[in-house]
Amino acid sequence: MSSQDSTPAAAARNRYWRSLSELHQCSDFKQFLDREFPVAASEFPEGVSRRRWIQLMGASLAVAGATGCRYPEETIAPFVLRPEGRIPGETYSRATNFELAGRVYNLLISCVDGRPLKVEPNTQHPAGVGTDVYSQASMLGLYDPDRAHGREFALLRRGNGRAESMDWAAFGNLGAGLVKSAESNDGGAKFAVLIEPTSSPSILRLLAELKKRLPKAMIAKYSSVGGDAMRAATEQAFGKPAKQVLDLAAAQTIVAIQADILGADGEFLSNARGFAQHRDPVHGKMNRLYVVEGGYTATGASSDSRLALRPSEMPAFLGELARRVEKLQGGESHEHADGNESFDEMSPAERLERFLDVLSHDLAESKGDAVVVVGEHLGAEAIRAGIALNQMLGALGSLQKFIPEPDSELGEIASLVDLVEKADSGELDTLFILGGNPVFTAPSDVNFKAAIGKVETTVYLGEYDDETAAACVWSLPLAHPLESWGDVVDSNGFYGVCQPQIMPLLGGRPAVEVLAMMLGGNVLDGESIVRLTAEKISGASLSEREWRQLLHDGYSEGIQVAPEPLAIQDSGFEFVKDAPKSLSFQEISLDDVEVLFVPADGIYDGRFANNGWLQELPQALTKLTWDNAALMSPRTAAAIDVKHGLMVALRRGDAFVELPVFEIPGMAPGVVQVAIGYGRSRAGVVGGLEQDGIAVVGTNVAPIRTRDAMLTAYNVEARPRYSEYAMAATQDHWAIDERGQNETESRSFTLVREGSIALFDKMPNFAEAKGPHVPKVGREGSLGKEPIASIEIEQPFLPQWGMAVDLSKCIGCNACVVACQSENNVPIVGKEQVANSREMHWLRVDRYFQGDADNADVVQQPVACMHCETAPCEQVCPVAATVHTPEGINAMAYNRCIGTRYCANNCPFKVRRFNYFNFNGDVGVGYGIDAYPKSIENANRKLQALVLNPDVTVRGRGVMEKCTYCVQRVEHAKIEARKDGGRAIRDGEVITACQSACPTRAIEFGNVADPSSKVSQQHADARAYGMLEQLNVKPRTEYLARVRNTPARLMTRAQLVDLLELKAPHHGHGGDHHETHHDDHSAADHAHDPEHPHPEKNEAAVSKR
Amino acid sequence: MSLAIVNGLDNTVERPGERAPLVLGDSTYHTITESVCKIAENPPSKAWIIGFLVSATLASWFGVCIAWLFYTGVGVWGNRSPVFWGWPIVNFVFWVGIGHAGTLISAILFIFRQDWRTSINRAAEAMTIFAVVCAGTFPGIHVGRAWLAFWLAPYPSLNLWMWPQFRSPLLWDVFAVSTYGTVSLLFWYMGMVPDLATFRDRSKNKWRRMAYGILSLGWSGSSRHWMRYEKAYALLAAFAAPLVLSVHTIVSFDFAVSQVPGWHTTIFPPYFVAGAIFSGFAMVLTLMVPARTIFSLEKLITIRHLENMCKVILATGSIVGLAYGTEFFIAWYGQVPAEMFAFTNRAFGPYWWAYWTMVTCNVISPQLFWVKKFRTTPWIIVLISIFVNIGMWFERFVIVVTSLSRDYLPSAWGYFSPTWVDWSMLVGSFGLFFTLFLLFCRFMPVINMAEVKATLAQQIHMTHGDDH
Repeated sequence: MSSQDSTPAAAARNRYWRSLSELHQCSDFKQFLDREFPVAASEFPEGVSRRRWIQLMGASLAVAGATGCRYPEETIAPFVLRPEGRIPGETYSRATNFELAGRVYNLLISCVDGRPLKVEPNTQHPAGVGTDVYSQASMLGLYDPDRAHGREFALLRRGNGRAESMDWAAFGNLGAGLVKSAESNDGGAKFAVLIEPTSSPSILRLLAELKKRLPKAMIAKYSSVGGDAMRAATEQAFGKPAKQVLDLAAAQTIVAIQADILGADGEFLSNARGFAQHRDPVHGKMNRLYVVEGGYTATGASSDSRLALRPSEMPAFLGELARRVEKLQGGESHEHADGNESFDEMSPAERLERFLDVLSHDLAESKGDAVVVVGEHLGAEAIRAGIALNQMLGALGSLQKFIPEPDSELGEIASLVDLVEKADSGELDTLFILGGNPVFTAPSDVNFKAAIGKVETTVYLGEYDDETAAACVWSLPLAHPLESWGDVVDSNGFYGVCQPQIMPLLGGRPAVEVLAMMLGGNVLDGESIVRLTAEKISGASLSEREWRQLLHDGYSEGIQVAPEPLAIQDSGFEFVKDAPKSLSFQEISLDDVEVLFVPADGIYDGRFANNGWLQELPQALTKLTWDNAALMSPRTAAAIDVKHGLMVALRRGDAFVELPVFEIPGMAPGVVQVAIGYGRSRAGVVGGLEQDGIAVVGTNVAPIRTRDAMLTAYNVEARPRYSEYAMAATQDHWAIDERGQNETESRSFTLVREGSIALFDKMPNFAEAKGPHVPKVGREGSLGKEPIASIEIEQPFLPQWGMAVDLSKCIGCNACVVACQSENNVPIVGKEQVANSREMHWLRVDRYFQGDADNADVVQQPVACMHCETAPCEQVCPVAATVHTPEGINAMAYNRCIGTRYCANNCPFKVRRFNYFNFNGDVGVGYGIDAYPKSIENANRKLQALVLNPDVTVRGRGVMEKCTYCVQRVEHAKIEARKDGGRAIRDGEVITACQSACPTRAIEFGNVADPSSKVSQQHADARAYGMLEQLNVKPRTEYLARVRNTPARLMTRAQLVDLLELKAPHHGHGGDHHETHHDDHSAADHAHDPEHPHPEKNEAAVSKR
Repeated sequence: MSLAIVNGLDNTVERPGERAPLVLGDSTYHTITESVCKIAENPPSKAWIIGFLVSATLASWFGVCIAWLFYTGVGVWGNRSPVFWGWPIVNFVFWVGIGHAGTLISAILFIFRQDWRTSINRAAEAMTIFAVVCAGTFPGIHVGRAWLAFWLAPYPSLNLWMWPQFRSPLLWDVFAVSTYGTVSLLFWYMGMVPDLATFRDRSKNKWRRMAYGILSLGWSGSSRHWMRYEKAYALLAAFAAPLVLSVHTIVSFDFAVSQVPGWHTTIFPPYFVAGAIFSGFAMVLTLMVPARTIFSLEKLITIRHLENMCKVILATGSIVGLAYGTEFFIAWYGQVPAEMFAFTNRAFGPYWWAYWTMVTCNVISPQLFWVKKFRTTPWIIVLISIFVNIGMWFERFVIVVTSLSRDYLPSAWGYFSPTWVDWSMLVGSFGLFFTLFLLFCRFMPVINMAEVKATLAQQIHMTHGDDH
């Protein structure tokens, strides 16, 4: 789609943003817009029909300043005279910035004919490389017909009966009236606003204005995923609430203590980027990530060394760590007892001691390049301890900075509890809720729903007609970020504007406009509001040119909010004095289970519950879809007397929840991790809508989530329930039969190859040695010169496409999975079909556990079509529907495919997906279509089909499909190259969807026949290997083996065994570790035999790094 | 005309220098004609009517299921990733296997001048045709877009301007099965012409006469007709004989040519052919033993016939057992990890029950036929034959499903379980098969009267010879 080259010529061609004024040159359109858009609201009494949608599209096209419609016969008002520079069907990108789920994104939106289609990172933005699942899936959210729009296609509704409705103009009067009357009523003493944490300067500016007018009004803030602990800790340490900003790119040693910095964290994108910058063992020094956690998170999976510890012991752990570091810094001997046991085979107590020992040495020896991050799960005291530790390490203010919360200008910010207390006491008569669905997410001991029932006028501005909307008197449809004007400030302080890509499809309004409307000022349109804010921040008025430049680039060097990092204000901090204890599995008590609440990988706190892509997203560790579960280690499950797939009851006081058990090895004893956000009863046809009989997805854990246990609940009682529950996971879980489990473990070493840094130093090409010995593809040159390719290539100038995936950088965040789904029109299939192994993801992230069940390591590997040079799928297709292109892409001709499925059987990677039903039409993008019996409502659901990428065929039933290396992007680049006089395609000109989405740049794509291309360099890396290359399939996608920077004394048995092999080059054949035949010829380049590692564990004498 | 009756009804005893009689009792040319023709001429028995109604209902249900499949999509089956081929292919291979006995009996035994084939070859051939019909149904409906299944055929297409992909074993399969079906049909029909003429001549009804008249192609029984018939029959037999071996060989290529562990083995062609003959003979026996009682054909389909077939089952069953053992040996001997796992997983993995059902039915049960008592007692023969049929269905299940369910990437492993449509189609295909077979029994000469009479003539001649 979008080409993102950086040459001046290309930059001139790719204007990301086109001025709205272009529209105004065309008076016909202005008239059309005025006539069609507001009036039509009364023309169509029910919902959005297809016809109606096309009309909206017509209007939107005009507003978006795009081209005509692709299909003229369906356009209400085609361009008679096409405006200059608009080419129908041409993809163009525009910059925007927005916030979702507490994360700030700097993005480019690819649009065709005024229709936003794909989220890409704004690579020119100083902060922006990569995206995540939420931003990628926001595209589907845009076209979600379940978003709030009101039954009567009115803009507002009143009360539960939804009887009254009004349009935005009427609300303008009502809203302004509310503020006005509050103003006269004791300065707004009975007025309150509830917001979510936001960085938007415009929203905060408007709230400040409101506060000015209503000095006694309450502004409350509530975050469903925590925030209170950080707030309390920073208030204590710095005197005011502050935000943590990490600079992981500068860190050599990173210690994450129950902090999911590479997962759920709000700063995920910058953390991931910073972390991955030092994960290349060949070029530059590797950083080291220590993780101490109770559950298992994405961060733990990416760690170099990980300790499973109960959260209740972590404050003591921090204290002990601080004491040891202090002693060592004070010059105490660095000697420590030698021990050769492998880390994963020690007793829990030994393991804790060893980990503390190694970690404290590592920290004490650091020179300001080590940082400790403590998660909010552990509470304010622990976070404060982390700050103190960083101060001790010299990391505070550099690696870990604290900047004032952007809303600190608003003065006193109340909490949800304060708000509820005030409402309960009858001191509130007006409450304005700005998004967030607090009725669903509030802790169970804060009866928010009852409280707002006591408020006379409640106004909710939200994207969905959700639980909160139902409880409020007025509910207003909030525009989607892609339809909105708004702004953000990212953690580097760059100001960014959120500009609309399309007119609001369902009549919503952006938050800034609604706030301005309530304030009743003169400036009511979003663009002007945001521009005012931008001017305020830049300190000068912006010329039209500067303003447009800001919109075009998505940021401006001159417009930054760079607050000074805060300095510690309180005097010394006392660490916890107790020594940490490590519980063994025998000591698990049924009444003392610790539950960690984490935001769901896909649906966050439930706000994305109606997004099919996110519901069907395989969750990072479990690969579970459409459900949440109680994650616990197999030994914990055994102690509770439950098994994988059986229900467990978790009880706190009188409240309890029942959840299915999902066994995940490597979690701390007696710790359960559950995802919040499931169990929505008013999400929509995808996420559950009780009133329409649509099943609720997952289990709501709110009952046991109280305000003192928003993130971690201690002393929870766990009881077995002997009923079974069917979960739909996309990968076989741990609890398969022993034979399969053993085989999985023994095989995974050759599939996902990894090694310790010690192994890498000794033998950089260990990956090749770990696999079966076969001639490497391209060893004699590039793939382009391989026999089969050369026979087929008549045009030698054509590039030979290939991909490289660096497993050292991959953190398994799934952004690529959703990006692929979005780019390639991959349907969702629903829970039942996932349970039937019929999910359609072209790209999946495989994960394997290794090692002991109590202390397992996780390896992850993104797997898509390998585009084998000698593809096994091609020769078995009887109708030649899957064939090789001259450029080495294993292509699918969908319209030739008759669906024998032989190709999928013969594909050793099982990356082919078959359309068992008409997924795209019947479920897919319109999932749940049957829930709406009326044809007009059915037709509404077709709205979602507009998310489909017109460059990619929508596959029907009975057809095989799979990754195409984004062939549409390849073709686009070829066309561009041809237009430029047949030049060669430059390296980096084709960026696949997965590659573009990746926040850690783990994926490279390009011409493998060009030795200077990045992908060729990656293929030439010592760590490169092809999966299952022993089958002589010659995969075009190669992996770069993962290198764990594990300290020598924390090496696991598997790592020690690998290292030992180097010392025993000619180990005899024997033992039962069956590996593929050893070929003596190819063993020449590494003098060892890696195949039969069976040393006794005490043999492993390992030199200390 | 006198008849030699040796040893009463027991013609299973071998006497040195003496050829065991194949037609028993006081059979004459006339009684042979009578006993065969009366099946078609008398009103149908109650058993036939009940049987037909049940079968036809099941066959109709099969049709309904196919309609449902076409309407909804392939997802109505239990097929899933990684088991992209499930019961439909299991059923296909099963039915193709069944379809082997007929042509083997009529062509190969004809070439080897095994006269005992004459009483059973007609029904066996009919069974072959019907089994091939059932088999042919599955691959056709199995593809995702069944309405385009004709793209498998190599026809000069003007709009596509392309041929099928000749490297694919599936395409070879199309050729193999269609050739086999065609040749078997021709062979069966041609062999029936003299008997159809007999039916025509005995018809008392105008419509019957007309129908049989058309079918019998103006057969008059002249020596010229006989001469040409014999030549053509021998030629077709020679033509059909290699097909018996080729068709299942090629079916086995569907698996052997792929690289799925558990499929990718060179033993498949001979092992599949032996298995096919094994299952085919078992099916012939399953049908023939009850039919011979129902239609009172004990004198023509004698115990000796049954015993001979049991011996074939014993031989081929032992070959199949040997093949199972060899597979395991090669998997170990080859030391390819994926292959080794495929086989241990087959026997001890989640599908162990299917594997051991297969071994019990296919390897152990036919060994009972070493005992003469078992291979001469009709009800035991039927019982063991049914076991063999079950076992052979499971063999295909084991090969197709267990191999696919766990191949190279553990992340993609899965477990197959059938749906109601899978069950319905398996049962429904039996319904179709029995419907066709019952119709055949009712309207066609179930025994090759002409050849049996020739056998009888030989028998008389030999007996006379003995007298001298």
